[in-house]
Amino acid sequence: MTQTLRVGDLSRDELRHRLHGAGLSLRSGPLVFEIRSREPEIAENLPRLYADTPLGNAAFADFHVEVRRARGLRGWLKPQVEFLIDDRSPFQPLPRPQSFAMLEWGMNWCVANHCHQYLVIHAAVIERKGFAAILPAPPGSGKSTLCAALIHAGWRLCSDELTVLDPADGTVVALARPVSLKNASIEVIGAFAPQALFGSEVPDTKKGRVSHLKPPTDSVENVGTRAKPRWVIFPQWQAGAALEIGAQPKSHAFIQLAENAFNYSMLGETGFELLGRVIDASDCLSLRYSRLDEAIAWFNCLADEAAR
Amino acid sequence: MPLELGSRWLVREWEDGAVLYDRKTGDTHAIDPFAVEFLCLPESARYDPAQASRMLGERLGGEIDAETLRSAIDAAFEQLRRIELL
Repeated sequence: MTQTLRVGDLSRDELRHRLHGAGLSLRSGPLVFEIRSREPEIAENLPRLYADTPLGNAAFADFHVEVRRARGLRGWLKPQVEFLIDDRSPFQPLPRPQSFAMLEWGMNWCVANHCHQYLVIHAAVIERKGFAAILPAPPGSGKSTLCAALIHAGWRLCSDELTVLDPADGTVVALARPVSLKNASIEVIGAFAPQALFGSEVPDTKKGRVSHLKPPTDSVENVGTRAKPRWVIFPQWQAGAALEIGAQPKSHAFIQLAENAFNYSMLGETGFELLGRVIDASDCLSLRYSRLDEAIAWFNCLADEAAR
Repeated sequence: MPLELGSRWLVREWEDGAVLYDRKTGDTHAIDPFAVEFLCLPESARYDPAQASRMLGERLGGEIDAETLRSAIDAAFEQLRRIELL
């Protein structure tokens, strides 16, 4: 049996050689990204945050991406980087210290804009005992913080940003990539899970101060295991709030998921039928919380009850 | 399974509401369950309040008084007209 080669198995020199040359091919669930870059931030963060991630087959990649220095006079005065997919840049350049964050955001963009064999929703998704909880929520709701805490308390990370659903069977397709944390959430999770491994911290991004969190090894190793949607939960962190759970009308949850999906309209009737199945199978709830330990205990009760 | 209303609409219904997919436009709408009942009427009845009232009254087993029923029909018609399903 051949052993799966992972990013963490590469020496620094080998990693840099691939990034500078033909590309580092890495596998995120069913997708293969081929990444090229000469940016030191990327060579520094990739082996730390993707250490457990299997390398892809160099013969094929779904996405060929690159982060490179932006050209032009402005870039000479204040260095910037640009993200490219198939040698085209879909975004404005960003300051050079944001190169790894830009790679992550660009990889999300690739999935959201190209993976139309799936329904892709802007929502975190985690799994326990075979059941998935989908957490759609606007920025500032504490979605990623809650997701980061849960994956360090026995839940499996499927994704902190993109819920990927397979129309063939209605299951969640996991990606198990780093979790993006912002501002005070970085310290909150650092204190909650001292064993958690962070990438370098980047100040002054459009989203504030950003750092990425390495996905737990278990989540990466089990990335191929599909999960059945069982809950759609709308979380809202509120300072000092007691834990409060409310039922959400299923029609409301359906519309929220459709509005948060990147390609719902494109999938047409297939998307409607798929979301209908997800909502049929799910309890739809709102969650207000301030304390992570209380929220986690509640999530664990949900999983225990579902498994009975 | 979604409920198919004619060749144009697909509906998913739950106790607390319903969603409808419009094959003609590709749009999805949240509508209330009474509006779904209204859409199930033959087309002629949807535009004839007296006929709609009689048919829905029969379906509801005469449990709803005429004024309440008429008001619900007006609201359903308005809701469906606003989202251009009628």
